[in-house]
Amino acid sequence: MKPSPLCAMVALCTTVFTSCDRLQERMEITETREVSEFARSPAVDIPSSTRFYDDTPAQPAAGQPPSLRGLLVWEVPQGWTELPEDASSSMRMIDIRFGPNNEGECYVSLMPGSAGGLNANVNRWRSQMGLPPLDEAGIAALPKKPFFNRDATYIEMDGDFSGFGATDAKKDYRMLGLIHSADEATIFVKLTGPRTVVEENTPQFEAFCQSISPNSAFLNQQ
Amino acid sequence: MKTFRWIFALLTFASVAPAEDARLPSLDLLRDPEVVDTFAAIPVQEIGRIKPLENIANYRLLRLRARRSLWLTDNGEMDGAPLTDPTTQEGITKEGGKPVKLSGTEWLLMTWFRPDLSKTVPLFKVDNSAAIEELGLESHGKKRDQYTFNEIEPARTTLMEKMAEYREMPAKERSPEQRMIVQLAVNYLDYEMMLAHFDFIRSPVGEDPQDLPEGVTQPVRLSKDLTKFATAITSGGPPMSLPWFRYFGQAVFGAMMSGNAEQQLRIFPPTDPNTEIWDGPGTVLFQTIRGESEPTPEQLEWLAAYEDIYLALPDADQFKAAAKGFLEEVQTAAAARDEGSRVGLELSALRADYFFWAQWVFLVGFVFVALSWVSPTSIFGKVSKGTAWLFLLSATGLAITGVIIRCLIMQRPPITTLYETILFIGASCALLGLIAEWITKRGLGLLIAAIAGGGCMFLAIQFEPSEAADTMQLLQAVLITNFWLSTHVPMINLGYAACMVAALISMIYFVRRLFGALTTNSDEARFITRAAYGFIGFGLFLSLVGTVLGGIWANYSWGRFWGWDPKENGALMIVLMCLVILHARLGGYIREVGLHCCNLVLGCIVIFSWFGVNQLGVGLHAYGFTDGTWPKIYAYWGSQGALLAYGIYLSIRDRQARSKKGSVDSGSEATA
Amino acid sequence: MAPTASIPARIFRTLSSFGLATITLSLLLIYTFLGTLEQAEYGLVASQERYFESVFLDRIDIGACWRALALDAYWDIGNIQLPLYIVPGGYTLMAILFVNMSLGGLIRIRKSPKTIGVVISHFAILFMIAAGAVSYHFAKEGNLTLAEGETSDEFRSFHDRVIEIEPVVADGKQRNALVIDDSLFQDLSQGKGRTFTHPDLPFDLLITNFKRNAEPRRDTSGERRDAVDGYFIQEMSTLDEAGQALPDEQLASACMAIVKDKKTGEEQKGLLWEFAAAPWTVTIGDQKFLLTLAHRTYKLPFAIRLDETTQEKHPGTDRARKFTSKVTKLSNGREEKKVVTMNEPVRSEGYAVFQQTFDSGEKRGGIPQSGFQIVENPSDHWPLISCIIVAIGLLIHFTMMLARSMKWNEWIAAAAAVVVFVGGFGIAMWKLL
Repeated sequence: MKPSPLCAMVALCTTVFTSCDRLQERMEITETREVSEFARSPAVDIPSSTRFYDDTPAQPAAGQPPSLRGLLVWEVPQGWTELPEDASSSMRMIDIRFGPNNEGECYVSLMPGSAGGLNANVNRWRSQMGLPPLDEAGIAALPKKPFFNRDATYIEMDGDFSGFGATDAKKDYRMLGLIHSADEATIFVKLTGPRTVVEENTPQFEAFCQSISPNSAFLNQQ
Repeated sequence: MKTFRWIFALLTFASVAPAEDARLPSLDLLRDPEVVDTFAAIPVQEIGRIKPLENIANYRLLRLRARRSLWLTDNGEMDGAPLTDPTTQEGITKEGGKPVKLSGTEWLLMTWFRPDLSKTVPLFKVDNSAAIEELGLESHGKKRDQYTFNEIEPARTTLMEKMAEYREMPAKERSPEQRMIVQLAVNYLDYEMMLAHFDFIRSPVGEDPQDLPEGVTQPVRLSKDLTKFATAITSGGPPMSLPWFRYFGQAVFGAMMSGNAEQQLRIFPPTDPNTEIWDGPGTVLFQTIRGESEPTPEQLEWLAAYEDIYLALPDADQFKAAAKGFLEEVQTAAAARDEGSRVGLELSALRADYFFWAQWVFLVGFVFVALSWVSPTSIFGKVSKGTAWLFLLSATGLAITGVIIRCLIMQRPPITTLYETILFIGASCALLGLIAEWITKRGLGLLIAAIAGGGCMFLAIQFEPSEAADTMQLLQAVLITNFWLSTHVPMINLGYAACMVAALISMIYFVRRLFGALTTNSDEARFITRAAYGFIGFGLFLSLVGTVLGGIWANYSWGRFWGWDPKENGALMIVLMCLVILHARLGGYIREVGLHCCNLVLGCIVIFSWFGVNQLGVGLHAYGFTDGTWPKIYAYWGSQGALLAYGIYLSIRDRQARSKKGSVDSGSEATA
Repeated sequence: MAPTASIPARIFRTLSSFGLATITLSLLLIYTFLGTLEQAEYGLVASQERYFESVFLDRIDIGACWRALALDAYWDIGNIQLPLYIVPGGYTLMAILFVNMSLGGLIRIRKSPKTIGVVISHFAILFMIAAGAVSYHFAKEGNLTLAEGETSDEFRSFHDRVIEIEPVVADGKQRNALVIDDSLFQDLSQGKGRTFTHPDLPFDLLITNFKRNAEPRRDTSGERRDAVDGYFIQEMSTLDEAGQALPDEQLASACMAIVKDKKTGEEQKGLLWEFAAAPWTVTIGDQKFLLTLAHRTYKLPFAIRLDETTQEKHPGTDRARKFTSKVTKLSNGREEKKVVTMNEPVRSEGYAVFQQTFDSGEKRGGIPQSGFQIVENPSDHWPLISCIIVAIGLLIHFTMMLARSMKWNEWIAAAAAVVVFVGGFGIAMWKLL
């Protein structure tokens, strides 16, 4: 039952005339109801964080685009462990560790467009390994490997690795990489680790790269 | 639209030229009436309903080109120079060197069986040449023109990139060029799939494929080897590494004919009556290579029958026989399911094109009405009037037939969409005008029938390309109830019609005053006023009862009588305006000119609640979003505003004249 | 017009005049237009309250109406509001119309065979306005969402909010709650407050800082003065990204509640939020109370259990064709099976249960859910009755007018029209309903 607008008007008029300080206004509660026997049992002493759904700090906002991981299918080689998807480093679509102490790292990332071009990317990686940049001819001469049904540029570099944000370079590292650069998107597969560990895992790297392909099931269901 | 995106993602990677086609038929074979009629009649399940293939062809062409036919000339119009057949290198002409015109189905057949030629036809409507320039292509110079597939193709990558970018923007923020590019990209990809429709048999794996699955040999027939391909794709390595996969994927999408799941070509009625969804060539291929389900023998038989149509080419007789055989099979299978019985009726209605003809017959009728004014009392005038009667009666008959046939096809009452309200209101206005003429015999009714009937038919025909989707749509769940759809909806629309007629009468009144053909309180003016008054009464009755019935429907179907929904409010405004007019008139506040002024306002309200409320973007009834409706509504309001200003001037002048004469207006009006 | 009429006679004449009818109807027409336009930015519920349920109309947002008509594409006039004083609102206009129609259309009207249709129609419209008033004041409507296997005997109002105070009692005991209607706290924006008391409560409740749409945010700085237990109320826009009003159901109101112990005078603060996962618990001595801000709950005289719910789609599409729910009505230990489906509600004990929504429940473990709209309306069938009467009345009147101008026999014409109309409607009802 709705209160009549007339009552509301009367109430309005009385409040206007009677109360100057609104915080002083008092009113007795007149309405009660019985709670149904089917109602949920009372939730007592629930902390604010639960009441306001704040228990998951990094809760992804609704409407965020679905993860790009779904776009691909791949096989993780024997002895490699894949890390669960981590929202905080969403740049890495697939993130894998390997080696005796998981010191080897391999990840796949995808950038829209040409991502600055092949040259810039190769030389960025070279600088991470402490190597001088290559000129265009040098980059064009890099070997190619089949990947994603296309040719991709293959890079193999030894040096001291200082990754993104690292202060101390790690000695005697090897980096393997595949860059498939197309107009629409650029896909990177990058593997780094101590040289000996990487040498052991090179066949796995090859197999892993070959296993990556578009996920037709995902494309269909969308 | 989400469906498109991922398929686009794959398509952007994979666009490969299929192998050369050795089976190109001549265009004449594809225009052979026997062939066209056979294909046009194939029942298809699309957007939840069984319809003839001609319907799909027509609306696809309408979406790409905003027309329902296509001339094979360099500008796509009748006056262009005939195109050259890329295979024979001869000009495409009929007898006498005239260019060739294709209907929707003929165009679809050309697209399927003559992709080489189809790519050279001006097909893609571009309303904004700046969009073409943005793609890095050379525009034709004109702002609006049609472009061929081959002209767009060099910019394919750019087109896809830009579409991906603009799609992310909110619709409101897109510029006209950006909207154009998105639309062009969607149309282009759709057409690419249509061109590749028979690739699944023409060239499913490319010209010289490596690594074909065990036991598969060229030429490939998927009806035989589909499972082998499916195994190769789903087991083992990534499919993209298979050298033939890109051809294969493209062929599968082509066989589906659309990236939208609701619009894939479904022409294989399943035997199992419990399966509601039909199969199609693309859906069978797609579900198999996704590893969802093995193809059933029945599905493979259908696929083989469909392949046979293509394999019968280029021999004309074999092709006709194969197509007819396939049509019969589909018809028999559909009939066994108790489906598709009204496909023939729909095809004949599509071809009869009632509303198009009605429009022209109304126009001819109007000409005769105008002729009858020259000398109303002479023999010439009487003959003109008689002829006008004849034409308007046939036009109204055509419009009503069209509306009734639509009801028969859909097995439901006449109005379920905005488009159908235009048809219904047009037919009703014409009928109301004719009835009024039959009663009064003063020529006014004929004029109303001609203007309102012709105008609404014109509007309906203009409205179709703006939506470019099948106008016979399925209903939302809550609306599926024949009782209310056949009482409330027609009633409220008849109410619109009656009020529009009243407004039209008042427009005629003012226009005649403007030309000095009428004076206040003359016999003719009084007659016009009485007629307008009558239509307001009729309109009030229908709108009031119709509106309340709508409330009752709502109350009995979902539990609320009145929700202040915009469409409801629109109807209420019409009722209130009618009531205002009646009470103001009874109270003597408005007389002749005042009544007509109010009628103009009534007309504006009807237009607002007919077309405007859908644009407010809120409420249950917002079903017809069409770009650029507001300017048209403003144009109408503006024209009425001008007449209204003239009316107010007249009313002031009349009042001054009256006060000079000092005579009190006779009471005859108040009792009229 | 007699110049010597007495004052009551003049009042009567004014109240029953065509002039008053014309003005009232015109104003209603204008309000309907404006109220429709304002829905775009204010939402249906707010503009309905402002224009159609109000005693006085306080203002017109010309800017919002301008934008709703897309006129801003030509000329953006910005935010212009026209404040109004002592202008009657929709509710008042309806009341005036009711009086005007009773006096003018029933009492004062010249009674003759000519006006019989008019009198009938006026009577029917009066009946319809009365039905509207009864429904407005006494109808309850809301929704109930049940998953398969769930039972409930309550439903929630669509738009009315309340604050409830429920003392925690031992298991198995009857639970009761104190209820504060939203008309008593909706006006308490920043800086305003009202204290609610009850003799059975060991505390007074001060409500303040009410927001129509808000979200609790964690106070990361730790310096906000309005923060309670590390959270503060962040007001949110009631418009979506496109500038359209969010539907009322999507608005989450919030307020600050301050509980003051009657004995010690000690204060406890809490935030109440409509979408909160659980109530705010207040502890006074060894007694606990739960405070919630929620949609108003109504009780049904029976319980409903959802046994099974299904959805049909048009083949090959995602478009729904039909939702159906099989339910069991439980009352006083008796069980009764019913089927609720689209357009076919179940009516029982003055309540009507309508099938409204369906959810396959894919996101919650696959148990399908069904949403029902539940309405209790004493004037449920009145509109139908008045619609039939008004139709007959108008039909008689206009047919007789037409007959007079055509020189037909007006009685025969009117009778024929009524027979045709009622017959046609009857046949349609019999064949199609």
